[in-house]
Parts: sequence; C-alpha cells; structure tokens
Amino acid sequence: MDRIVINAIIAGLAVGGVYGLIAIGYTVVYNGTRIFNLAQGTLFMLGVMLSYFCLDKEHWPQWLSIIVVLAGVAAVSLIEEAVIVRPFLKRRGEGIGWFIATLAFATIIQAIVIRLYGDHPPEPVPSPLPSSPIFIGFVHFTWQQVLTLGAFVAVCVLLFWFYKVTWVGQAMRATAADREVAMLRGIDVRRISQLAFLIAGLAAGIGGYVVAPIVFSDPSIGLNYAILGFIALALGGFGSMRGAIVGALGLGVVEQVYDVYGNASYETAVSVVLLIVVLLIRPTGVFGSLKAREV
Amino acid sequence: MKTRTGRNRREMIVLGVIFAALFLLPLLNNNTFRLQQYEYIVAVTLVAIGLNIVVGYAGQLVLGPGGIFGIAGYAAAVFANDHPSDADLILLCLLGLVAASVAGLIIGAPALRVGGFYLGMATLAIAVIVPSVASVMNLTGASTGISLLSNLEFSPKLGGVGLYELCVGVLVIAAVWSWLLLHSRVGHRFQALANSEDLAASLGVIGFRTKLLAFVLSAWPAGVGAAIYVYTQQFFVPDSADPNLSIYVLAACIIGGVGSVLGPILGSLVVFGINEFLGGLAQWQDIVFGVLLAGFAILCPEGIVGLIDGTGTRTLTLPPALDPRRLLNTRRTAVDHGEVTPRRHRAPATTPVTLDAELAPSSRETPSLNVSRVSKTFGAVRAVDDVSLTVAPGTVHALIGSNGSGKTTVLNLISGFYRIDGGQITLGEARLDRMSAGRVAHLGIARTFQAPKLILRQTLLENVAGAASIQGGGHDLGSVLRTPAGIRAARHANEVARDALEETGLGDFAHELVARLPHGLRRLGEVARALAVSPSLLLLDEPAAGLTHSELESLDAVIRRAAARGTGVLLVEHNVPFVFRLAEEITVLHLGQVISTGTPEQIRGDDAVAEAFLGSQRELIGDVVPPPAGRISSVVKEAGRG
Repeated sequence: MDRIVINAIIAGLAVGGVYGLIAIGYTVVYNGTRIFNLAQGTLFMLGVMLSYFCLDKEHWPQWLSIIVVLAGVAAVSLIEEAVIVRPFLKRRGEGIGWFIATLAFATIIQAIVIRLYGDHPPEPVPSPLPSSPIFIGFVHFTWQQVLTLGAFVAVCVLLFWFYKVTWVGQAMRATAADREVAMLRGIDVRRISQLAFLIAGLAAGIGGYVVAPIVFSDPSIGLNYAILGFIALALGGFGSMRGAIVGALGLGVVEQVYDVYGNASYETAVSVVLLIVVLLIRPTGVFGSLKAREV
Repeated sequence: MKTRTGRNRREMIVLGVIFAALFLLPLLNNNTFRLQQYEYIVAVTLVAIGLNIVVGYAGQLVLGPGGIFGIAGYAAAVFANDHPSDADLILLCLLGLVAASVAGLIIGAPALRVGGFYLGMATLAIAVIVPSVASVMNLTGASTGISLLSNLEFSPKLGGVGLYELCVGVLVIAAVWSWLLLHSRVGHRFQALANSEDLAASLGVIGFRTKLLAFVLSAWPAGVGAAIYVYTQQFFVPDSADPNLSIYVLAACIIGGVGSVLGPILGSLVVFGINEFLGGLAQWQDIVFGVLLAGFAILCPEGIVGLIDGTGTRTLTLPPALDPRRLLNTRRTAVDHGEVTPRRHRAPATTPVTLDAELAPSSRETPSLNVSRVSKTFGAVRAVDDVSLTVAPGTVHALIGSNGSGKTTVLNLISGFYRIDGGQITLGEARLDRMSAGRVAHLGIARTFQAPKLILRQTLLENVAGAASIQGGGHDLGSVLRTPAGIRAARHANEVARDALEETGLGDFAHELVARLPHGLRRLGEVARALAVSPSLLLLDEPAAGLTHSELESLDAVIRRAAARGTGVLLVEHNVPFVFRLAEEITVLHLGQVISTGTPEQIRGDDAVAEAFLGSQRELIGDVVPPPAGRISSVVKEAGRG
C-alpha cells in the first residue's frame, strides 16, 4: 500500500478519536436518559475554548489547565441536565420538545462563548508536546495524534471497566436496558441521568483539551463536531459503545484517506454522503440493532 | 360548536389582521432598502410555514429547513444568472419549488428510514454542508456567491411596492394552502401520525410514505421562499443559507406555536422582525433567542398561539358538567336504585334507526377472520402458542384470560403490529400475517387500543371525523383543494362521525376537546373512532375497563348493533359478566394457549376453565346485573394469578 495512504489511515484514527469522544458522550447520555443531547458538540467546543483561555490567555500550567477545563465543561454539562433535561424526564414521552431544548442550550452556550471571545480570528493554543514528528520506517505521525488516540482509548477502557465492574456502572446499564424495571429495582434514575451528563461532559472536556492545539480557538465548531459525532454513531450503530468506537474510527479514516485523493474542502460533505448511503443500505449501522425511534 | 370553532375564528381574525398590516406596511416606509428587508422577512416566513407542516402537522423532527432553502435558492440564482432575460418571478418560484421537491425526496427518503432524531440530525447536517459546499464550488460562485446585481442583463420587470405586495400575496396563498392542507384528509393523516404511529397504522396510514409526503410538501414553501429571496435581494451567497437560519426558523415555529396555521407566521414575524429591526439587540440576540426557544420548548410547547388560547398550559380543568365526581354519583345512583336508564348519556335506544345504513360495512362483502395455529415468541417467552379462532361476520367473539395470557398479543398479530412466528391469519382470501398494519386496516379491520390514542388537542368529533376521512373514499388532491367531490367526502366523514358518536352515547361531547374528557368517555371515543370507518371486522382491546354503569350499557348496545349490521367483533375483555352477556363465542387463553372455546354456556361448564382461570369465583359468571367493572376484573385478575 502507498505510504501516503498508510499515513492517512494513522491520521484518520487520530481524527476518529475526536469524533469518538463526542460519540461516546451521545451514547452515555442516551443510554442513561433516552435523550439525544445535541449540545455535545458545543460542550466539546467549550473544552477547546477553555483550553485556549487557560493556556494562551492566562498562561496557566498544563496540570492546572486540565483541571479547569474538565471541571468547567462538566459543570456546564450538569447545568444542562438540571435546566434542560430534567423537566423532560419528569414527563416522559412528550413529543419533540427535549430535542429542540438541547439545540437551544447549544445555541445559548455558543452565543455566550462568542460574546466572551470577541470578534477576532482563531488563535493557536500552545501544546505541551514536541512538534517534531515521529518516524517509524516510512510511517510518520505526530505526538499530538498519539495523544488524541491515546486519550480516546483511555476513555473507552475506563468506561468499559466502569460499566462492567462498578455497581453504579451496572445500574446505568440496567437503566439503559429498561428504565421502568430499573426504577422498580430501586435505582435512582435521576442520579443516573446526572452521572451520564457528568461522564459525557468529562469526555467532551478531554476531547476539547486534547485537540485544542490542532483546531485553534474557533467558537463556531460546535455544530460541525456535533454532526460528525452523530455520523460516527449512525455508521457504527446507535446505542452501543462498540458501534460508537468503530463508527468514529471508520469515519476518521475515510475522511483522511479521501483527503489524499480528493478536495479537502468537501471533507464534511463526503461524511454526509456516507451517512446517506449507510442509511439507505443499512439504516441501523454496522453494529446496530437498536431502533432509534422513540423520540 | 363552541370550543374549536371559536378557536378557529380567532386564528382567522389574527391572520387577517397580520396580512392587512403586511399589505399596508409600505405606507409606513417605502424606500427600496426597507422594502427589501420586508421582502426578506416574507421569504423566511415561507420557510417557517413549510417547516411547520412537517414538524407541527406530521410531528417529524426536522431541524434543518435551511438546507432545502439553500439548494432551491442556488438553483434559482444560478438559473437567473445564466438566463437573465427569462428569469421572472413566477418561473423562479416554479424552479425553486421543483428544486426543493427533488432535494426533499433525496434527503427525506434515507433520513426517514430511521426517523426520530436521525431525521433531525440528518437535516441539520444538510443545512450545515449546503453553504460550506457552495462556498467552494465554482457553479455556485464559490465564497462570493452569485450576485444578480452585477449581472447587467438581469433587469427585473417588477420592483418597488408592486413587487413587495406580490410577495405578500404569495405568503397569503401559502398560508391558505397550509390551512387547507391541515384540514384535509392529508392533514388528518399527518396529525394521526404525529399523535401516534400505531394510531396512524391502525387507520391505514402507511408511515414512511406519509412522512416523506410531509417532508416534500414542507419543502415547497421553502423553495418558493428561496426564489423570492433571490428575486428581491438579487443575490445568493453562502451566508444566505447559514445554519443559523435553520435555527431561527425553528425558533420562529416553536415560539409562535407549532401545529397551527398562525403560529409559524406570527413567530417568524416576531423573530425575524427583531432580527432585522432591533439592531441594538444584535450582540445579545442569539442568547435571547436561545433562551426563548428553550423556554417555550420546555414550558409552553404550543407557543404564543397556545398561550393565547389557554390550551398551551398543561392544567386541564374539567368543565363542571364533566366533573368525575358527578359521573361517579350517577353510577352510584344507578346501582343503588336499580335504575337502568343512563342519566347523562343518551340512551342507545333513542338513536335514530337511519344510522344503520351509514355505519354498515360499506359494500365490502364481509368474510370470516381465521386465526389458525398462530405462535409468537418474545425472546424466551412463548406469548402466543398454537392459537386458533374464527370470527364469523355478524358475531361477537370474546377472548378472555388472565393478565399476560396473550390476548392483546393476538390482537396485535391480527392487526399487523407484530409478525407471527408460525401459523396463519386470513380474512377471506387475504393473508393478514403477510401485511403491514396499514394494509390490514385497508381491508376494513378497525381496532381500539387499551390506552386510548385520541388526539388530545382536537375535539372528539374532529378525532372521529379525521379517522373517517382518512379511511373514507375520495382523492387527496380533491380534499386539499376542496373540489365538490372533496367537500362531499369531508361532509360525509363528518356525518358518519356524528352518527358514530351519537351511537356510543357521546353526542353531547362531540365538540369537547379530548384533553378535557375523563377516561371512560375517551375509551368510548376509541370505539366511536373504530366504528366510524364502517369496519368489516372490529377488534376491541378492553373497551369496558373503567367504564361506569351507564357507559357499559352504551358499549353493550353499540357492540350488539355493530354485530347486527354484519360486522364481526373480536372482544378482548376482563369484565367477565359483560363478556358472558354479549359474546356468542368465547375463547379462553391461558399462558398463551387456548384452553377452551365455546358458547358462554359451554365455557361456564368447563372445568378446565374454572380450574385454571376463574378459580373459586365461578358463581360470579352467573350474575345478570354487572357489578362495577373494577371489582370483577380485579377478582378475575387475582384468580388468574393464583
């Protein structure tokens, strides 16, 4: 295989890791609350912007910045749970309001961030890593890519462990399988919902912090990443962690390999076309069995 | 005709005032710049009218109306730029409409295969990539877009106030069309779908096709709006279809009130009026709209229109006449004094005899239903195991059994909601087990649901008439355009609905909003809706649960009359005395299997039934006067569990 393609695949896995962190956020929240949180991309954007604020504006050390970014994004995610989602969890099955409410929340957060950031072009965010690429034979990649993919893998491993081993994780899985039965079993579904938003917020924060040096401080990226994260899910199959992981990595690779041959300006368009094709051929995605119909 | 008509009239008056104000707006200020701003608002209001059709009427989650708007806008702009001398407003509008329809089909078909939030995200994705792709394509003028101003050959024949008034005229037409659509059989299908997919399927609505129709119809006003945008603003650039436009239009619909004709128009004027004319707000604008959008979505889902009407608030206070305590008193008196004549409901005997002709199964010959050796497994549970039964036309066949014995599953298998795992179900020659629920309904099989699936924001009459018009004859186009045939069909549906309501004793409540009705009346309303489609086979899922004494009497008479007209009735019911009085034949299910079939006398004497199902409470079957439903069914349930 052409070395350019191999390098593109490696780059694709790193990009896919970013989509994966957003896709996991969707999945965790959906399994805990049956709500598709459209603001997930905006939370990711918030992570990027907070990193910019801590590292570039305030010149805080990396360790402090990480804490501030994660705490900040998780806090906003929990606010969303309290203000936007909880009213809908109280009265189940009422139309499409919740979806629009999460979109509204995303709009508000983005508007506030743009307001605070001001009207100037995106600026780079300092990276803690050396900028020189790593060469292994003819394959080369950057430390940044290693960090991105590493963060994604770490989050996945932690979540698998959490779901499988801890009591709370098992309660979350039970809630995902059957909300009513979980409630009858004495699981506090409200706490599960908070926990889901906390985990999703942390995942978005990690994603934002890790990617900030590549994407720069651009407060308008939220919606784009929200959509790419969703496409990753739709490709892999909605509702399962496995689907989210495979879909995200696959999408990243397809995108980067396409860039080798095609015009990179159409990158997102290609993802959307891919989404449409998958919906036509196999609407439930590669691993999907779940009907994403209950709105 | 109080509640609903008053509401309609108020809506008409407000719309009239709005349109009059729009027509007179140039008196206020008619310089070119202002007129162009007004025309822009008209264009985006058209998009909002379109979005309301798919989101409000049909209940489908579309978030990106700007995508279709962008595609149609570029189509119109590219055409006008290439053929400047041909490009008049009408041609551009037609072009926009066609482009929007095609785009709607291409986007809608895959996105609707999964539906739900998939549709929302897919449409949003389109709304995001249309401007981003257009900004790199040469065809669409890349990042600078297409400017007709700089095209010297493009000289619009219309301009100034005349053009603006024409645009408002188009807006009025779109509003009228939207109203006609809502109150046609197409609109009824959309609303049934929005309320519940199961309800829609039980009325013969094919879900995917109907959703796609709603999606494509919603693209029409967006396409026309895009053409008006191109003609009046004389440019189309990537920013014209910015993703924010989608969010503003959505905000307009939600804030104004989704699902009504007025709502999106009102909301659009508010949202885009603020957007265009309150410059000082600009920096806070997105935050304000976001807060408004979230606030309305959470607290007042029916928008400003709902606030005005008072239906937006969720507290549904019963009118004094419907106070459940009074109904309760009625029942107690009836039982205490041995009275049989119901007080509040019209006695079934007084209903005119002419009804029979109206509600008789329409000219369809009425074949028997045959369920033979049918099985259904859920995971490890064999819910229905080798069940056979026959319902002959004009007879009442009851299906009884304890909770979880598989009664409702059998009903769902017959009506096409579940696929069978073995056996076969036929109606005459037709293999029901190979059909979708919608197709089954087309054969004249009507059903009710255990939990009433009436549309809460409509009156009882609108619910029943809607079902009748969906299932009745007539052409969709005729129904929307109000051709003589269309009007006749609508009138007929209304009459049939009225008769069905009279027959179930609900005549007095025809114009009451369902949301205000107590449970028992809703249950009877379910039966009325099923009757209104003149079914050849009627499947009733626990119609008697929770009914008062007088309501039970009504129900009994209704079922007898339906059978007398030749309709086969399959009755799933826990109220054993009710069943034994009514049914010609009874099938008893236990743990998914038929343990006995026969006439009420045979079942009464069957020891297996007594053993497995009725336990020591056998003497209750002999009761002639039905005791309150709740008690007997709980006795039976307990017996079944033991």
